[in-house]
Amino acid sequence: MDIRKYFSAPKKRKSFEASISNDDYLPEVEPISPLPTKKTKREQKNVEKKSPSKRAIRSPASTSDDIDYLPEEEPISPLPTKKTKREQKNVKEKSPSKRVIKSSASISDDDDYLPEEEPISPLPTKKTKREQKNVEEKSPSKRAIKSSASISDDDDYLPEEEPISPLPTKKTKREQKNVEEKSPSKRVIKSPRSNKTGPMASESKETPQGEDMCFFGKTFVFTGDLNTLDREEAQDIVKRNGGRVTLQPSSRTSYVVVGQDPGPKKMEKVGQFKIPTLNEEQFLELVRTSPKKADSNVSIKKSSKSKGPITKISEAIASVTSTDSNGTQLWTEKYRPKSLRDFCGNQNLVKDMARWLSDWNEKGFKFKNKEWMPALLISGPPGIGKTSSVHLVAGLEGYEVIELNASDTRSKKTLEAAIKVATKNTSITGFFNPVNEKTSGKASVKEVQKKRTLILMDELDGMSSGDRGGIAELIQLIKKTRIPIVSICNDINSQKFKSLKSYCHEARFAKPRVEQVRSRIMTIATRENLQIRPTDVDELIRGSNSDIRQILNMISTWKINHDSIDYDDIKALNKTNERHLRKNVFEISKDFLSNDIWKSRKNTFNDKMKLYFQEHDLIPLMIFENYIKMKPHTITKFIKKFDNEDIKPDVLEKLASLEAFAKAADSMSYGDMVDKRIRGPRQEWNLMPMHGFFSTIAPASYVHGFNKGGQFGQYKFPSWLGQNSKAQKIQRQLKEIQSHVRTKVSADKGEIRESYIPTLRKALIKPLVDKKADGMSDVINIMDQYMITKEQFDTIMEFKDEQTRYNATEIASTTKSSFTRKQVLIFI
Amino acid sequence: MSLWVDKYRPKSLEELTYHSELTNRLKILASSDFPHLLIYGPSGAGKKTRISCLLEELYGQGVRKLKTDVQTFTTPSRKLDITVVSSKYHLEITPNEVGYSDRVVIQEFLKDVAQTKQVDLSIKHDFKVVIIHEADSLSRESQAALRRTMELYMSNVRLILCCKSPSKIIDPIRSRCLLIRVPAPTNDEIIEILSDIAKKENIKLPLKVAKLIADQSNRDLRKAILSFESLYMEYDDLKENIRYKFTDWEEIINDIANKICLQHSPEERAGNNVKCEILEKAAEFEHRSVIGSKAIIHIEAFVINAMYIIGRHKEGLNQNSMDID
Repeated sequence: MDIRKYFSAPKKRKSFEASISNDDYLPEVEPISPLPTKKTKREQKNVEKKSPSKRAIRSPASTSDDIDYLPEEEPISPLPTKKTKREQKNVKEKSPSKRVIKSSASISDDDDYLPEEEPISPLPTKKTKREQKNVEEKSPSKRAIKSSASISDDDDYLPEEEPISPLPTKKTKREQKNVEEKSPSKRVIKSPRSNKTGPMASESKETPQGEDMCFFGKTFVFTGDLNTLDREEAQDIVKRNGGRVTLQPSSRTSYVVVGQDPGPKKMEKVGQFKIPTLNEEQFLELVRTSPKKADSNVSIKKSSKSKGPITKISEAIASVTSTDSNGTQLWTEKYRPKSLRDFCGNQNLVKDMARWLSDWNEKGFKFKNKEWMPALLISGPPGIGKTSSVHLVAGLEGYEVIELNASDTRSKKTLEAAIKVATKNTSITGFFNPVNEKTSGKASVKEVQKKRTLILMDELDGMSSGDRGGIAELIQLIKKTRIPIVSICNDINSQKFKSLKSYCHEARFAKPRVEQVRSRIMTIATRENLQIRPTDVDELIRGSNSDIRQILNMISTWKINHDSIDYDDIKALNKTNERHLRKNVFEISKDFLSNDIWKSRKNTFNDKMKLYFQEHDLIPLMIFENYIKMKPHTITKFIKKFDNEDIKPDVLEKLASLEAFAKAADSMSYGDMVDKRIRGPRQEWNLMPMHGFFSTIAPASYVHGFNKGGQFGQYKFPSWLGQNSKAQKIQRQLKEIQSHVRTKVSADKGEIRESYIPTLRKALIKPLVDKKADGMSDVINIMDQYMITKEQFDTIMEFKDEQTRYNATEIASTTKSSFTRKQVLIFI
Repeated sequence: MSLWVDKYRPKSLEELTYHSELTNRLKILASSDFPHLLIYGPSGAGKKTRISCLLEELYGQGVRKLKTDVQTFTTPSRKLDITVVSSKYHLEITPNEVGYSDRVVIQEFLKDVAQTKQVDLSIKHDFKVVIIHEADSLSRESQAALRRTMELYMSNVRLILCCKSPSKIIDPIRSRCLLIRVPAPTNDEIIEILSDIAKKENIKLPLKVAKLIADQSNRDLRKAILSFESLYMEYDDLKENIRYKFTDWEEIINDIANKICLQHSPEERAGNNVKCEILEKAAEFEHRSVIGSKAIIHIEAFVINAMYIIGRHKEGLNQNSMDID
């Protein structure tokens, strides 16, 4: 087995170095099996039971629990989980002989950070291999050593391995097989399972693949930090196996998985509802042991029975298949809502719209008051059926839609022309079309009479500088319209629509909830013969932000060469289709300074860099403004490290924070120097990534943790900006003062501020305080001497000094006003 | 009525009290051939006072009739205003006023001045003097622009560069100038001047108070005289046991410094180790603040580092054990 091959697998993400020290008792060096499988473990357990020898396994090296916190520093992370310990104990109890196996493995984290620190040491491992064989040949008992050691090793690098799960390629698998074939001891391991696991091949026993849909119908709540999984991974396991994850426990919650530091509120509810709790091991055990549940087809039926709107699925399928047999249509067209029932969410708004339209003829333009507007303004995020709803409702109510969207010029002129045609004419299509059976009776009655028109101003956000006066003209139109006008926009809060809002009914379409979309997507998937589990649909909806159009586009392209879609596919799809959500500075700061992106191993350095580049001007300042308010994550580790000394914990905590702050501030100081290079005369803009690292990512990696200020709204906007402009103003004022007093005073700008101003101010105030109005001439004399104007006098007064009894506030108001009058007389 | 510091500013070389040797040299310079000068020294040492005395020596009373006007230059990108203080005989400019574009000032304005000959034959010397203030903040380019001008138009113009430290003046310029260092006055000299002023103002100034002021002034004569006047205004009667009044900004800095230390060790004074480490950090961050652009970042970094060092030493944790790896 060539271990290097394994590491050079195309998607290599981890590296590990195994250094093994021989003990006096044991000349053999313990091997590290790089590819442990579930089976291995089981095997190993068996072996352990059999083995008569006793081994005490010591996995040394300092334990650092948060390997991913400080990526720069290569962490030593032999994290023996409880399980390992337990197993180790077993071994201890059973075996009579006393051998100590020392194994240590240090794993370097996230190669994104320090790719050069990827120490692969083939030599020791080769040796290990050979030694291992020796061991095996010598005695059966040795095997136990090996396996137990490898267990501990597994555990050690388990947490590191998880993120690879979808990555391992065929090569890895082949490698694995090689391993299995070459080492006789491992041949036993080979099992049908190992093939079945597929993408999970290199994933360790800790993230087991449960039976298909084994969690179906079960609801999980997670609280606290899990040891080896992060929250997202644990939730993925549940979702992958068909379970649901909710945030708060309720009476319907099946299990609560409790990690370290669970939320007290959640635990309270757990007690209240008597929900069974699981710790991490139990949870994983549950995954492994839960029996296979109903397959996806059954579940669909189940869910469809429970849901009202889809009861007529079979009919729907029948009707669809009969009408659209060609199948070449885009799904988004094919499944455009055809009745009010087809809408996912916003049903009430659509109904209101229908009512509005049907009332239009009676009320129309006659009533233009608060209760009745002749126009409608629809707003909402993309892909939730705004345009569709207008078309549908208009069709049902017997209107013909004249649509003006961003592809038309919508300047004042063209609008006028288009609308003139629309308002003065009557559409003749109504005369020719036979009455449509599908439309409701009410509509068909109207349709016989004549088709009326409706103007749909779609995509108002797209009205830009090219469409000069577009909005204003639209308002004029609305004022005198004789036909309904419907406008659609995405961002209702935009400044552009401020004027328009007061002339329109507002219909704010909200994002449909997951359950509202789920049934519709399931219907479509069934019609198209795409295998999908309802729980996975939820993930799809969540990933696309409830954008139904996007979901349809995604699954329709998927359908082209697949017949089913599972959880991991959806995750991958979501990832590729992820729209770049532009976050604001506060959200980005929160991302950087809170734990989430640092804990999740899926969030790479590049992701952080992308985050920085979203707002590269403000983010460094935001970090600078807010880092000092953090409670750094290092505190616990720090306290643990120095706890035995007689230092008070609160002092220690302060020191720990200080250390993190000092490092962060140091890094930001470097960042500022880089900044000067970028924005200074050198203009070295290629240094931007470096600036991002020093000014944002590195400091955030030191201080991220909890914010002392509470949960939300705690991140302040950089005060530096305000302070800076204040400083510049003072500099300007000083410069002005200096140029005035220049003939008299030798000092430069800084010296004026430092030495002159304190005394000069006193000299200017003292006569007014001591002699009241009589002091005025003295003051004006001084001002004359130094050629200080009134504004500069005021500027000088603005510098505060708490030390002296002569402050500007001490001047009596009468004196002040008469002085001002006198100044005005003199200087004007 | 002006402040004492301006009221009692020496008007001629004879009135200068300290650095008598330097005064003699200036006198000789004024009477013989007058080269370009580079005058440097800390603030409040009397550089500009000496320059004006020197000018008086050269041209007589006329140099005190000063006027200020604003000259405007246009560069392709922006309009620059520069204040020029001038008398019949000399000009004073501060190219730093326009920041990075100071080269334009040197190339356009100074060259113009240098190329015009003094036409008034009644004047003692046939050259003009141009004083360049804050010469240490001249950009490299403008210093380079100065080089040839200084040589070519030597007959028309003499430059006096005035700055705090000559280290930022490029070598070619330094070699073209006569370097004159004006050291800060000693505390005794300051006390002498203070009591002299007190005598003229008819104020009783106890020696102890004078010493206090001199100590606090950091050998900055300007500051000493100003704070003397400030104290006098504050107390009217300067008793021996008065409390020294810091200026507003000094008070703020003291506050901050106290906070940095108090938080950790109110009773004990920092040991030498701590001092060394803090000094090292201070130097480091001062350097960085010069290279960087946002001073506050570096100041904050220094403060936090200093607090960390103090706290660490107080708790007896040595440096190595602190770095978690």
